Amino acid sequence: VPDILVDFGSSQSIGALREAAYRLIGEASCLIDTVDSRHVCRLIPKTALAGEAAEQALRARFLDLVTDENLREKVAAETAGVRDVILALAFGALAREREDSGSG
Amino acid sequence: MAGFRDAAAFAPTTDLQLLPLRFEHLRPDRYFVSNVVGEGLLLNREQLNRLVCLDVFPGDGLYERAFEKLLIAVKGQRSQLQLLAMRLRSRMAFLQQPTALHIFVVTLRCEHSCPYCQVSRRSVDRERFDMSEETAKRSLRIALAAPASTIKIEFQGGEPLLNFPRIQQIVKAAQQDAPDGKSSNS
Repeated sequence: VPDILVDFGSSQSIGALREAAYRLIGEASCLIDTVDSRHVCRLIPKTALAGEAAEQALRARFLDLVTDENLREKVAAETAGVRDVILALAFGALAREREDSGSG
Repeated sequence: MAGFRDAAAFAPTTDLQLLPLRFEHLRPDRYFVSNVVGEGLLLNREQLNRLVCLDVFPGDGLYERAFEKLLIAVKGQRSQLQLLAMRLRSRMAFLQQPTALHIFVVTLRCEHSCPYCQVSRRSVDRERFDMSEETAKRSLRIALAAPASTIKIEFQGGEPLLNFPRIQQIVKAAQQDAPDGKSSNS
């Protein structure tokens, strides 16, 4: 079964690649090497792929997973502050403040 | 007219902020998007992108759905955050209670083959698959150290009655060693 190589520039988060590799685990194993500031993902299909179309489909699936993971990272980064406020209102200092003032 | 503000003053604001969310790809062009307490809605990829980019406007449908599910909020308005916090506190209330339930798996042996059972039962070898006296003592110390005023000890297996002497030992020791004021049910 031939391996499939997908490479990314240094701006690509390696965390997102790892998450995507994990999500692909049922279809292919993934080795990630960082070479000269580029992340090279070697996809090793679990079963023989029937031709180039199947290879392209696996490559596209991996890229979609990486895209989703990038979006998750973006959302997490953009909402980190408000998440802390919500947690503080629920369980932390802001929750105690509300309880002390009798507002619930 | 004096005394009435212009209609535009009552229009929903478009100064929005994204709230924490998770999403999962369910099937082609279908995503489940949920807020921090797990309430969510189904969106396609284009809608998901618009939501994350806050490219939503009153009256476009997505704005209203996202607002209702607390995926977006008006910047600077704390009431929506407090609503989410209240729901989160209710959902996670169990975390504020000390552990009261302690499950003792006194043996993995069992003589039955019930089709619903998830346990990897063993039929032989009492030495390997029964809880030892030492493990029982250590486990009981941990259970009694729990900061709950009342604890419950539950015996599971396998078929726990196949190691009945261990159950008797644990019950007697629990009654004897429980600190004053702590009661136990088993």
